[in-house]
Amino acid sequence: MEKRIHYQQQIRGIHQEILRMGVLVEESLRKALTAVKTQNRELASGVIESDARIDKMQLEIEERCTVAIATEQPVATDLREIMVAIKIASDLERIGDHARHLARAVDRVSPELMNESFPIIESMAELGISMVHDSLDAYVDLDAERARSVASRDEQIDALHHDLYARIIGTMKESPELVDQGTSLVFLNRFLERLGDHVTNICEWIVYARTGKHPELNP
Amino acid sequence: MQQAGRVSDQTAFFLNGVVVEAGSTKEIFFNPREERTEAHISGRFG
Repeated sequence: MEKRIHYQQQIRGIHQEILRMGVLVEESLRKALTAVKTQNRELASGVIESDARIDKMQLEIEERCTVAIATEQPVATDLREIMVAIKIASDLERIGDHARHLARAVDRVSPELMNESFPIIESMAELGISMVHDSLDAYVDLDAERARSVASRDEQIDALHHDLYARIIGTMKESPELVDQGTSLVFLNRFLERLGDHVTNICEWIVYARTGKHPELNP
Repeated sequence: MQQAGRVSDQTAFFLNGVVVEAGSTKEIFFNPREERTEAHISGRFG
């Protein structure tokens, strides 16, 4: 039954690259959060610089997928796995961008203002990091049930996003001189909320690879 | 195999004279229900 060994190797290689990219993205998020927590500019710069490596990995994965499509003409599950690898690489790249945005907050928001918002930002980022990690676990076996369960946690990030938004607006109303920094925080809040959406997308693609049906996990 | 996908609206997969699966070409080539159909169109046997 097992034929097309070269194609199976190609798919496995792409799978491994996605996981490597995911680990890199998770590390970037962790470092960015630590940089904000400890106000470590050097660590923040490292996160911003390493984003180029994540972007490069996305292009390499796309290239490998394109070659596999052109040379092997995959169908059914084989085709869906290739498509899903391209889509997941794209979502991981966007999550990497959000790690960069988080790292930039070290320079854009004063430690005093950041301290007020940090507990919620930390909770959102920790939730996001655990969702990225668990979505990659689900991707290893294309575990649709696990992917659905991971995506359901996005609601918690959304709730924190609403709380933090109200808090920042309140601060800006009370202290109009903080509008510049407050606006940076509003953007950061939005980026962390989007992070959860990108993990939800990854989970949807895992379900799609397994079933051939595209679910809307957090409508 | 690719030629069959390009020119047909409906596809049936026969194995040893028995219809294993039949349906729209889109479904058969993209998300077949039968494992043997999937293995055949993916080039894993036959």
